[in-house]
Amino acid sequence: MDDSKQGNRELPADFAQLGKFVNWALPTQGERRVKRLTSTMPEIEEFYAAILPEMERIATYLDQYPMHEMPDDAKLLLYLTYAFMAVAPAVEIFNEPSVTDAAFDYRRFVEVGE
Amino acid sequence: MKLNGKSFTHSFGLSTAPVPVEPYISKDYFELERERVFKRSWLCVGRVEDISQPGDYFVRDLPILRTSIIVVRGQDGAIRAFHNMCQHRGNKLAGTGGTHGNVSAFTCCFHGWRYDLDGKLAYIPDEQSFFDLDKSKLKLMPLASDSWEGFIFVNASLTVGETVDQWIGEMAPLVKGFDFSFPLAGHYRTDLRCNWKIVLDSVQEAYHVVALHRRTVASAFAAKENPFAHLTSARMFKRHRSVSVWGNPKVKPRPSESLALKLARLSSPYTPSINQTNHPGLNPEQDNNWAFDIHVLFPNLQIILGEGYYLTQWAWPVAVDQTRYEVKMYMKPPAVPSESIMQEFNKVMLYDVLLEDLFTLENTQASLSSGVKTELNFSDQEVACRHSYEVIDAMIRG
Ligand code: FES
Ligand SMILES: [Fe+2]
Repeated sequence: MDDSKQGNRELPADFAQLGKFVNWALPTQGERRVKRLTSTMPEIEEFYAAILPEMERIATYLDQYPMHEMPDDAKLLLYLTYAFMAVAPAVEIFNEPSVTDAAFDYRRFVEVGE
Repeated sequence: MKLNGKSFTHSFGLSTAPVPVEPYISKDYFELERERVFKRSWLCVGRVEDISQPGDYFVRDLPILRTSIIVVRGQDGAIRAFHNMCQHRGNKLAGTGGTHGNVSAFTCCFHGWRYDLDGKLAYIPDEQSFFDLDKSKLKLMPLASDSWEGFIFVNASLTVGETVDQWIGEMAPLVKGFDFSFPLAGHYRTDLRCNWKIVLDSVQEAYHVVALHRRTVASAFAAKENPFAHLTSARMFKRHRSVSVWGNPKVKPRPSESLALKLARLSSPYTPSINQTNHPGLNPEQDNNWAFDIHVLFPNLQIILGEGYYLTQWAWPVAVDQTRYEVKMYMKPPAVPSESIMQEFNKVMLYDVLLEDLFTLENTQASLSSGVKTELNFSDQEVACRHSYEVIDAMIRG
């Protein structure tokens, strides 16, 4: 999707304290899902708890840029918010990384074209 | 029962008797569906935006028609559909399902016959070695095709009785004029070991919401005043149908959802709708506690229309117990980055909820295939499933 995996993996200076979570900043929904499903609940909870109180400040920061003209560091920050949404059901609903009892294998329900 | 106490099923003149299991498990019934339903119906295969430029095309394998088709926009801008079959010895011309791209002509990889985008045979290598060839009779074989509100339809019958407009019929006012220009935001697919009607039935009733989605979204569609997620209204037409889903205005959003709602005044299938549209088709009975409308275009396409988004879900029959399920979610383009965070919330919830939906389908097929049980009972809230059964069954017997 883009080259944010290579190159600079630094968040904007205002959000440097979230730097330890930058490996959550993945560009596609599929990658973020795999990250959620292959992480432990303590890892997920730590990430969730760190991002939740920052979400509104992040949103305000991101909105200084037009959607398609974001610098790379802002894009990473945006992907962090997407990853927050990706893990939210695990924390807020299921208390485990996967969808409880829904045994349909997510690996069979695939994104087309990602 | 309807919220006001009258039965949908009676009011549409449908039977209330149990329905047979046979249509879900019988190979003979499936063959009749192929011949009398799918080969005689306008089938929606995509959107005009999928092939916006001259030369854009996509290939779709349609096992239910025992064919693969090419849908292509010609140099003249017109959209045409052809069997994906070379007129020489029948090789597939443009790859298999999922293939798409932009071409100025189709060239068969086997011996190099070349066709224009309007299907005309343009070039045969070493043509003089053939006997009495009439190139004008060797065009790509067309299927009738047309588009309606941007949806592309094809029809495999040789004598198409109705135009797409006539086919859509009474469904038109509910769908016409909706802003279908929203870009594709999510596209998911899976191959299921179950009958296509098991998939379709699961997306045309809300009865399952309270039990199956108890952890995720049940509270958005049921509450004390509507404990079983009763529909707000339903419309059963000649073939198509439409139901409206009740939304709980007092649903307590979770933290992620509160944030999403704060960040964008967009709605989702799982949040109370903002309902500020002027589109006459949305919320047709203007119910105060409306969540979204489910429209089913006969035979196999479900369309959900809501504020700022729409979903399409297809159940493509492959065999009596095999179905390709495909869902596409389209959302209003985010005006600012923070709106895209709301959209991500929608996409994640949709996906997780669909995993719950998908869970029951193959298990249901596995049990029904045993043949032990011969009948099913549909409640009034499953009126759309019953209507679907009755329309198909009448075509098969007729
Ligand atoms: S089969 Fe296509 S050119 Fe021979
Ligand atoms: Fe569902």
